[in-house]
Amino acid sequence: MVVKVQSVTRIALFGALLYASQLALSFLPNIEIVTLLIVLFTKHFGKEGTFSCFVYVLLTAFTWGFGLWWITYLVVWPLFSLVVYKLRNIDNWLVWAIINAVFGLSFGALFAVPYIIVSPAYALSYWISGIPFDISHCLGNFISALVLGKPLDLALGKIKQIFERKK
Amino acid sequence: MTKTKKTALIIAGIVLLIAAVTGMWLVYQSNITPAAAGTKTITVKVISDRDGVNTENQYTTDEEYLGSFLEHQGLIEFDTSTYGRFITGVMGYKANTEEQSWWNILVDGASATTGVDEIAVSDGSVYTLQLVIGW
Repeated sequence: MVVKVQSVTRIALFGALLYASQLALSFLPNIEIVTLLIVLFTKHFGKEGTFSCFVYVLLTAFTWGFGLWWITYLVVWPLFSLVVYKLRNIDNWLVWAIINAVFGLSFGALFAVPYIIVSPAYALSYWISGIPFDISHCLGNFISALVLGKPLDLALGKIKQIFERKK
Repeated sequence: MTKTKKTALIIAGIVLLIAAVTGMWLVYQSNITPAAAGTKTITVKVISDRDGVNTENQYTTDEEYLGSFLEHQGLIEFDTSTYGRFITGVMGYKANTEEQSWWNILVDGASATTGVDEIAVSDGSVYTLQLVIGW
């Protein structure tokens, strides 16, 4: 029971942290640390990291409203977390920087996918016009993972040990 | 996996990433028409078979991009995302997701490959806003 309560609390806390980090950096176009935090949460806490994505996506809807983009959010972030879960044993942060950079670079293309149904021409134009943002997203994700990844990884590892001692 | 192999894979990953970024940037550059300063005379057609609309008007403008021109003329309604305007209505005629209708933009008769905010206004060009039904 205690474990369950701890788990639910962590999911809520992680979701709130993802949301707060996005809001804090929302003045910078496509620069975020949500990707990095999802990697860290999923690496250390497995599926809790994935569930926290749903909390985060729900919170974004309360701020920005619902739309086609939100459906994509609902799919893309948990899916990314599941990919991270599969790769969670990777400890080299240069590798994570590359993975996060690829995710950032493909973000616009992923968002263009639903628009293919509406209009393939618009989906293509949507993707092309967003390329500068995708590139800044890619660079931001690469740098954030490279600079912050390892220290935050170590810090979260220590926090996890405290949780485990209290079980 | 040996350390040499790991290093080679990481280097390959970085090289592929740089190649992907460069490739995407080239795609972007090749699809963006540089804006021209000065006064341009353009034609705007609005076609909607659904609403029985087929208009053609000439305009003289100093606007550089079609999105801002259409907005300032009060011709369009739109949603705005990070990537610019998405036209939802023209001259009050609205696209409707239930009937799967959407506004297509043609530049000199060919479908545009960029968003309305990246289409540079070019002297003598014909811009057609056509309601298309069906995805």
